[in-house]
Order: sequence, then structure tokens, then C-alpha cells
Amino acid sequence: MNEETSGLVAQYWAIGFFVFAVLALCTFMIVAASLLGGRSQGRSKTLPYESGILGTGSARQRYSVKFYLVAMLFVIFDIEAVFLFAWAVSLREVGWTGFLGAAVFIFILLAGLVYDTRVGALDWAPKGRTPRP
Amino acid sequence: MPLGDLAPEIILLLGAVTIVLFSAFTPHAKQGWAAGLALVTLGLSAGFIALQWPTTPSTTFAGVWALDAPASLAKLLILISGAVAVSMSPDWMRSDRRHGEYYGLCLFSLLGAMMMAAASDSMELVVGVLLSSAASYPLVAYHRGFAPSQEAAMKYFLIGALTNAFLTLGVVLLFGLVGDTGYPATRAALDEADHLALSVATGCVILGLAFKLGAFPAHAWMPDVAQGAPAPVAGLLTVVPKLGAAVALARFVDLLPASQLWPAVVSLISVVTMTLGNLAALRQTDVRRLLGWSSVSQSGYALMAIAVLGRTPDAMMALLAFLAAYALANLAAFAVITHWRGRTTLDDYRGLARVQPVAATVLIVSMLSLVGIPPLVGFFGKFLLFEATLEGGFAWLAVVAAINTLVSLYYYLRVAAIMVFSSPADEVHVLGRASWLAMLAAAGLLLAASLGVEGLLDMSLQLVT
Amino acid sequence: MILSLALFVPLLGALVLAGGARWNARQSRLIAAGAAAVSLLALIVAWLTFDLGGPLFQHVAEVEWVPSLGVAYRVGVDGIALAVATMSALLFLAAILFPFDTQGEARQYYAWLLFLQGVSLGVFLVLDLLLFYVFFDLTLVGMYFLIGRWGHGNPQLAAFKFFVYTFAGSLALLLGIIGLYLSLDAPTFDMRTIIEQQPLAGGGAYAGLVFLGIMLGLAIKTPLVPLHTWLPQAHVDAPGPASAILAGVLLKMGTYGMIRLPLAMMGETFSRYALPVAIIALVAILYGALVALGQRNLKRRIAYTSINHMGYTVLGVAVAASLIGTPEARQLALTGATVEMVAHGLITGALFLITGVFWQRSGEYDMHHFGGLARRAPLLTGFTLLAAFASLGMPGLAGFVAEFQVFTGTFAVYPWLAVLGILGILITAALFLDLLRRLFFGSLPSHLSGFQDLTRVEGSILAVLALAFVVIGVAPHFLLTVIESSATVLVGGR
Repeated sequence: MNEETSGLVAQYWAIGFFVFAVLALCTFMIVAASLLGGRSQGRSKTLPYESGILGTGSARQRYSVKFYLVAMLFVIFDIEAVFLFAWAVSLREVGWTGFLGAAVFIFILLAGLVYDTRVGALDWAPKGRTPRP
Repeated sequence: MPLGDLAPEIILLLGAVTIVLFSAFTPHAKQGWAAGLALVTLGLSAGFIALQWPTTPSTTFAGVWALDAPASLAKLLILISGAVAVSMSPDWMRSDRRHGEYYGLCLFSLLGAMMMAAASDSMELVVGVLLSSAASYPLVAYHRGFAPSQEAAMKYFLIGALTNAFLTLGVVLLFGLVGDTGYPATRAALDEADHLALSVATGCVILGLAFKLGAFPAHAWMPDVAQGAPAPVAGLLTVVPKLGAAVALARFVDLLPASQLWPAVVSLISVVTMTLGNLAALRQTDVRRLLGWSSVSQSGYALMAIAVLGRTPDAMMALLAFLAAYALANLAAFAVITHWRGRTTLDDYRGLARVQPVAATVLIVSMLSLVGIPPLVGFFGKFLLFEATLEGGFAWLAVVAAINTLVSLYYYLRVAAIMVFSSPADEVHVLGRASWLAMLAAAGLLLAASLGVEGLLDMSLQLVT
Repeated sequence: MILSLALFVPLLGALVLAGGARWNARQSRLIAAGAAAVSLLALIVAWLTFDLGGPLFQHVAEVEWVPSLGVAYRVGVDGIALAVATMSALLFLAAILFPFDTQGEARQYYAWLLFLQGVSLGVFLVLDLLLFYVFFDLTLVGMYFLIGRWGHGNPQLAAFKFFVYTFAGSLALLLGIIGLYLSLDAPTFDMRTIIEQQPLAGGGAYAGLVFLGIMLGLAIKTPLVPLHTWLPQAHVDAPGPASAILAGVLLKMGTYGMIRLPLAMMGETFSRYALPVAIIALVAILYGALVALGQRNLKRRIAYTSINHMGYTVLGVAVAASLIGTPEARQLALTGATVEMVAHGLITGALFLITGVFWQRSGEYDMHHFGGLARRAPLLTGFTLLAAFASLGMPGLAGFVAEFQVFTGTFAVYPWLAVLGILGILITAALFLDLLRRLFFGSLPSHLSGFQDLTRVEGSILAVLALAFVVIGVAPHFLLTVIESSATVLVGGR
């Protein structure tokens, strides 16, 4: 084992220990629970609710498409913010050109937002949707 | 940073955003005006390209954008193709609830293709490919109630997502090998790069671009899109991404060291693509699907020029001339189909030459141009390809292409024969005056390019000198 | 200028007919005939002003087209091109005037014929290699639509087979032309420059490949055995006038191309392969004649005699290309080959127009169907007799002049080939006599009792063609001097 490798080990041993500890803790909890916990078998044990109330319908319900839409819009605008962070840390270096670029970028985002509002993508409930003029 | 260098792209971007806003605030009856806005934008953008036509190759924005004759010519072609496709659309999209936004998406798609053509940086390439793809998927699926359109869009999206992921992977690998995304730095560092890793990266990038090009093995979306997408979109998407991707691929393989054997790889893809496209087109009974497969085979021809890149100075000129010829002919064909309300089945084309002589003539002429019958511009494209390939020492490739051309004659003639020799079935419904004019304009461009082929060559010849 | 007139007036006429107002059948025919006549007149003027002692190519005109590739619109003729082009124009005029049932689409029919005339003349008149190829290919398009639309039997299949088969030849030709083009120091498609430079002299295997590509393309068009299989079906299913054009004009493009391209531009390479080409030509002569003898179908029989006759032409060209023997003998063979082209165009054109007459009257080509028509249709009998005798090489008619020269030239260079080739003439004589016997002599079958003789228009058109090949047979001087002036240059005698 040469010097470089021992240097690496000296630097990162804590991470290795952390990984090991996480795995060990998880294993311990699962194994201990299965050894110590009690078990019982029965017809009603396999039902969704043991209390005796039978479930109705399927658990696979369809969400309103609005849910996905809003989620997607959130992701999009959220990710766009990442680019603005990059601009923020180099604000002085990129100067006015950078400002102009960021302004165009924000303007496009704004246009997207305005468009989304106009076509009713942000209206949560269907009845609140403004009909297109 | 010289913003003026990017004027064509910025104008396109602003135009697209304006159209999106415009359509959000305009009543449906007036949304057709967005087409006019789009045309103005395209015209302005083309004007700026002509103004800043580069005399010597250079790059701008920290070496990310190439400013040279291939880029400018490809951009110009993309804009012209876009203009033709946009002017085909108003009649087609009139009844669609989201008529206005359509043009915004078209412009975004064009912008992506333009970025591909001008990318001199692998990350830039990724952004271009993704922009072009992301804007194209909804275009294909624009008719939400039409199942074939949805199916085409789904296939397009799935293949696109997979290959775009590969492209990104390839670019990341390349970045890891070289430590830079700019092409000049990449070229300098690639000689010392690990061969295996470089081969994997090259394979991934070529795969990603093959998708945009419609080349084997990522060609499968092309026939579906041609058949299922709205007809103007089919015209747009069989042409525009190909223009951008071909130039991008040419730029990329030019970087690679000789140890990658890329001419062999590209020529192999070329042969498989053209043969597969032609053989699949032979049995089609759907004209739009047939055109889709023919478009695959045309990608194969275009790859011939890329295979001999660097071996002969004419290769780039041949590539661009061929692409221009292909774009004009294919757009003219789809313009006719649009004018005929997107009729697909071959049987529906019976005797159309009698009832609709002008449109049928345009379709036949564009198909003959695709075969390469002189003196149409398609002939010059193929002629230059053959010449470059022979000069580059790939005589076998030229012979294979010649045989393929012969095979392709079969299916093009089948369409021509059924239009001319059969008797018409029932009356033909056409779209409207605007689509008629768009079709004539496309045909006019095709003929003008055939007669003024010198101008086209002159423009692309500047790359040699 | 005068040549451009001959070239563009038919194309313009085609455009007028295709795009124009609703011309009716009679007007369309008149327009077409007018345009064809102007074109023919222009060529006759070019002939009269042709300077026999002048340069090889005359009436030259040049307009830039694609200078960066060395492509330009260049026209000009030598004696050979002039003779073939004038014959073609005459034949086109005859085909246009010949009465034909256009199935209600007269405008389109005449437009296609005029288009075909323009591009066919283009093949013979241009001096630019690329333009030559352009026109060479466009003739396919014209003929495809003529056969497919107005043919009978299974016309679409015949037209399709014709197009694909000959287009394959065109592609081989294109690759050959590119090979030739790339071998030039300063690439250009100017035929005069290429002829002057002889770029592939001593070129070895490369020159051989280029030669092979070009010859393959031209041989399919000619057609030479074994590349002839497209011809019979295309002929049988084509309408009569189109058949006349196909045999009279389109086949000439193959042999004319052999003179213009391999012989003139790569003479040294051709001389190396002259003997094999001559042997293939001999096979075509004998095979064409023998197969023709076995045909029951009238049109098929004449179609196969075309293969036989084009064999004579190719034999003459190959002899001219061989560098053995005296220049005089080779010049004689080349002159004979050209006269054969002219004579075959006129004679076979007339014969195919005659088969058109048979089809329009009876809808049948089977020779067993006919008989004893000599009394019923004396005029038809007379013209058929004349054309058949001319075709089999009867002295005093055009075919004899051509074949005599070809064989005399061949005898001086490849005596054995000449001896064997004469057999072809013998078989041709037999098959034509048999044809005449079956059609016109014997007893008249009852179903032919209403068979009409030639109408006045048909008769006078055939009379003009017959006059032409009789004049060439009796007084060939006017034709020979023009051809010889160029043939001498081409075989290196001047």
C-alpha cells in the first residue's frame, strides 16, 4: 500500500464507516424485529384493514390530470431557477451582458407563466377555468 | 459577447415567444394571424443570416457557435423549409382549438435544428437536439382525438427519449475523456484518449444523431410520423431535423481520430439505412408511409457524403446540395398531400392526374426529383454525392447507392402510375386557397432550384475555398 | 441558334399543350404537327448550311449553366449527329401526323410526343456530357407515360419494365460519366474538350471500368444481346407511333452514344475491347435474326429484327474503334453504321406504323390471324413490301447501302466476323419473306372481309418515309458526304 492510497484512506475513512453503519443498523432492525416480534395467522389477517371493515373499490384511483399538470409546471419552473443561481454567483463577472441574458431568460419564463394562466393550466378546479375568449 | 452573431436565433426565439403570447390573448378566429407572424419572423431571421454571411469560418460565444458557410446554408435551408411548412398549415389547423401555439412550437423546433447545425460544442449539440425533439413531440400529437397521430407521437417520443439519453451519455463520456466540451479542444485531446471509452462515446453520439437524421438504427419513428402526424408537420419533421443533424454529424465525425474507423461505420450505416428504407417502401400501400420510408433511405444517401468527409473537398458541398434538393422535393410532396387533405391510401390516389392535374404534376415532379431524374435539382444532389463518393475512393458505396436508386424508382413510379393511368374514383376534396398557394410556392422553389442550381452550389462552394 | 430552335420548339409546344387552354383533338394535333415541322425545318436548314470541310462540330452555341461543375448548355452537331437528328425529326413528324385513337386525351398524347421529340433531339444535339445524360434520362420519362397510358395488352407492366431496365443502364452510364469526368485535369463536361484531351488514354484498369460502365448503359439502350429482354414487351404493348419512335429514335441513342462517348472520347480504351464488342454485336445479329424468325406475333418479329439491325451498327462502330486495318476501311464501317441508324430509323419506323394499322383495324398481332390481304388492301401491301425489302437489304434501298458499307469495312478488319455476319442478312431475308407470305398472300379469312386499306393520310405519311429510304438507296451521296466528313475525323483520317 503506497503513500497515496493511505492518504486517501486517511481522508475518507469516515465515509466508509458511515456506509457500513447505515447498512448494519438496517440489517439489525429487520433481523431483530423478525426474531422478537409476535406472529399470528388468520383469515382476516390478509385484509387491508384488520378491524373488519371491508375495503370497497380499487386502490388504484385516477388522479385528476390537473395534479400532474401542476406537478410538471412546478418542476419546470423550479429547474429554471437553477440557471439563475449560476447567474447569481457570477453576477459581477458577466456584467451587463449577463444581466441582459438573464433578463431575456426571465422574460421567456414570464411569457410561459402568462400563457399557462391564460389557457387555464393553473386553475385548480375545472369549473374555475376561464373559457377561451 | 457579440449578440449580433446570434441575431437569427434570437429573432426566432423572440418570435416564438411573441406568438405564444399572441395566441393566449387572441380569439380563435384571428389565430391564423400567428402564421403571418411566424413567416415575418422567419423572413427576418433569414435576412440576418444573409447579412452576416461569413466569408471565413469562425466561432462566437466562447467558441460554442460555429459561424461558417455550412452552418449558414443549413440554417437558411431550415428557415426556408420552415416557411414552406408554416404556409401549408393555416388551412389545416384552422379548426384546431390551439391554432396559434402551433406556430410557436414550429419555430422552437426550427430553432433546435438551427442550433444543431451551428453547434461547435457538444453540450450545445445536446441542447439543440433536445429543444428540437421536445418541440416536435407535441407537434406530432397535435390532433388529440386522432389515434394514429397519438401512436406516432408515442413512438417518436419513446425512441427519442432513449436515443437522446444515449446522446447525453456519449457527450458526458466525451467530456470525461477530454475535460472540455468545445470541439477544437476535443479534437486536440482525442488522440490521447482511451480508445475503448472513445468508441463507446462515439457510438452513443452517432446513435443520438441517427435519431434526428432518421437513420438506422433509430429510424423507426420516421414512417409513423409521416403517416400519423398532421400533414404539414410530417413535411416539417421529415426534413428539418435531418438538415440540422446531418451537419452536426459531419462536424462531429470530423473531430474523430483515424483510429475510430468512422468512415467505415458511417458508410455501413449509410448502406443499411438506404437499403432498409427502400425495401420497406416497396410494399407500402400508404403514400405518406411510403414517403416516410423514402425519407429514411434518403438519409442513407446523405450519409454517403459524411463517409467521405475529409477525403475529398467536395463532400460538404455534396452533402448540403443533396440535403437542399431533398428538402425542397419532400416539402413539395407533402404540400400536395396537405392540399389533398392528407389522403393516405394509395387507392385514393386513383386517377388524380385527371381531376387535379396541377397538384398531381407537382407530386410526380417532386418524386422524380427524389429519384434523381435530371434536370431536377435532385439529380444534381445525387450527382454530386456520386462524384464525391467516387473521388473519395468509396466506389462500392456509389454502386450500392445506384442500385438503391433503381429500387426506389419502383415505389415512386407506383404512385405516379396509379395517379396517371387509372381512372378517378370520386370527387376530390381539397383544403383551400392558402394550401394551394403553399403547394405552388414549394413547386416553384423546387423548379427554381433546378434551374438556378449554380447559385446553390456557389453558396456551398465557399466552404471549399 | 438554329439547333436550339429545333430543340426548344417541340418542348415549347409540349408546354403549350400541357398547360394551355382546352385544345380539342384536332387543334392539339395541328399544334403538335406544326411544332414538329418547325423543328424538322430548322434541322434541314442546319444541314444545308453545314460546311463539309469545316470543323468537326458546327452550329455551336453555348450558354453558361453551372460553371462551378463545368456544365453548360452547349449544342452543336457533326455530320453523324446531324443525320440522325434529322431522321428523328422526320420520324417524329410522321408519328405525330399518323392517325391514332388517343382515347379522349389528345392534348396529353401530343404533349408527350412533343416532349419526347424535344428531349430526343437534345440527346443528339448537345455537346455537353451532363446535358447528354439529362436528355438521355428524360426520354425514359416521356416514353414511360406514352406506353403506360396509351399502350395495350399490359401496358403499365411493360412501361414499368422499360423504365426500370433502361434506368439501370442510365445509372451505369452516369457512374461511367463521373469516372470520365474525374479523370480530367480541369473537370468539365464539354465534349469537345474531352475529345481533345482523351483523358483515359493508357488508363489501365480504371479506364476499363469507366468503359464498362458507359458501354453497359449504352448497350442496354441499344439493346445488345443479352441485355435486350426489355425490348420485345415494350414494343408489343406500346401504341404504334410510340413503337415507331422507340425503335426509330430511342434505340439510336445507344449506338449514337457509342460513337460520341467511347469511340470519340476514349478511343484508345475502346480499341482494346473492340474485338469483344464486335463479337457481341455478331451474336446480336445472329440471335436477333433467329429469334425473330421464330415469332408468330407480327410486332414481336419486327422488334427482334431491330436487335439484329442494331447489331450491324454496333459491329460497324466496333470496327471503326479497332486500331487494326486502314483508316479508310474503318471510316467506311463508321459511315455504314451511321447510315444503318438512319435507314433503320426510317424503315422500322414505317414498319411499326404499319403494325399500328393492323392493330387499329383488327386488335390483333398474331400473324396466323391474317392472310390474303394483298387483294383487299393493295396500298398497305405495297408499302409493307417496300419496307420489308428495304429492311432485308435489297439493293437500291437504304438498308443495302448501310449493310454493304458495314460489311466491307468489317471484312478489311475482322474478315471472319463479316463472313458470319452475312448469315444474319440471309435469315432476315427469310423472315421478312415469311412475314409477307403470311400477311398478304394465301386465302383471305372470312373475318377479314371488312379490312380497310390505308386511308389517304396514312398512305401519304408512309409514302414520305418510303420516299426517304428509296432516295437514300438510290442516291445516297447527299447523306454520305455529310457523314463521311465527320467519320474521317473520328477515325483519325484527317
